[in-house]
Amino acid sequence: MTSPCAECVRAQPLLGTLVELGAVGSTTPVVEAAIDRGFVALRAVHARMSFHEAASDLSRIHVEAWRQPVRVHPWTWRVLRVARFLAMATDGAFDPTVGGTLVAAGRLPAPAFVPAPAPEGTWQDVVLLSGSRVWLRRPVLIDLGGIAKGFAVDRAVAAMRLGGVSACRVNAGGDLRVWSPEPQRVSVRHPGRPDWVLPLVDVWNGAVATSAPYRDETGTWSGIVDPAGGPAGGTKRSVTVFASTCLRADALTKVVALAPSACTGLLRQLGAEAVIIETDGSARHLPVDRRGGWRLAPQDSRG
Amino acid sequence: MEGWRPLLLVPVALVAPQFQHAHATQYLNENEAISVLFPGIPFRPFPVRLSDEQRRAVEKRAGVRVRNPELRAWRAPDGAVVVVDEVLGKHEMITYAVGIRPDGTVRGVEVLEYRESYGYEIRNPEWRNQFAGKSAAAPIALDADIRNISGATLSCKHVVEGVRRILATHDIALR
Repeated sequence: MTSPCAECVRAQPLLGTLVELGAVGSTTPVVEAAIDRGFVALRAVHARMSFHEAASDLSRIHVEAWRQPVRVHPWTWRVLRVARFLAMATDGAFDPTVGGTLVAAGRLPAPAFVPAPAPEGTWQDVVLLSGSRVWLRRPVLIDLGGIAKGFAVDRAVAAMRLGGVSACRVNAGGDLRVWSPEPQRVSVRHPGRPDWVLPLVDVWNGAVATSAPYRDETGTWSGIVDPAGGPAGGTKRSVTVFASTCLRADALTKVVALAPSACTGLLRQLGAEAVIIETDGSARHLPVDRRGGWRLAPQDSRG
Repeated sequence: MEGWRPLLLVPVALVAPQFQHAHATQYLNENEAISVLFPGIPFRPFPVRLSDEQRRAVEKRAGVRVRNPELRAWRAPDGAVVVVDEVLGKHEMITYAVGIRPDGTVRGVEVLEYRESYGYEIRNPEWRNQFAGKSAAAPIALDADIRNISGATLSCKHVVEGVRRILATHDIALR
């Protein structure tokens, strides 16, 4: 009883949010099968990198890797390597071992069978060994949250493209990626007026991630943790990054939010572009020299 | 800040002021959801109303309130079940379907509709009534051009709790 269409959009609760997958293809079965593959890829990333699932690679690292190296899936190893690179490039302003701080703040549940994280632990205690293994110099808690979501988006797009679609898009709670012959307009939520959006960029081959302290269910949390001094709840601006992959875009939103003046070199190096929007709607733009699969939307048109 | 340049952005409202409606996305209708969850298998409507005792048992088992004792359910000859439910967040309403295999395990969860509203109280029965009886074939006027929004506002916590509640309900009342 499927409707005859060669374009389908579906959404499932995954990765802590609603993930939307859309694809265009020659026939409905082709498109539906590709979307199924996309969801399989998302679930695989979730299973491996979830902080909450006891069987995830992350949980196995927390339980065991401070005693002896733990072998993980190559995807997990890749995401950890990117996390370490970012920590190194930002001198620790971005630090994936904020898990301990988040647990202490009640934002994450304390995992079972895991020793209390060493308060002086940092990203430098996470050691990546050959053979896809991870070792911890001392107990720390790693939270891959956002960047794992970005990585999941990339894997879902890759899976759908393997399925033979002519266009696809993935939106995981605001982290999104587009691959399409036609540019797709992407808007960003107005940080001061949640019922408004700001049409920002046209994307045909690239990713967009936005990090912002929107009021959530509890009303106050900022969503960004400053590893140096605990939760960073000060500014309410939103940071949006355009990059070739969602992993990169998501990771860089944290960097820009934490150090907007110091990050320009890193963004240029990674071919990424950024926009900061204040609650009054004023905005700043950090352009990129290299041409990516996107361009800023002209502001005279609407919708 | 070095390298940053001012940028002018023109906002667009998600809710047209002349309509009392919300930004919404429709993914699947009920029949489409059933055929996505269980391709090729015939389902028949199987509406259920929980007794007070069953309701209490579900609340205890799932740790979640049962707001509505009426269940929108469909059943296949082999005992597979699909339940359609809706949950309310602070600013959003999500209608979703849970597919449950004959052995009681989850086959999948698919979102049918997502609606968000900032100007109106989502829990207000008057606001919700404007959607009652509307099938996906008669969409409410909405800005369909805005479909790629970056910037998260919700967690799937309510849907996850809903699935837990539905699994408990299946175990207690639908087997």
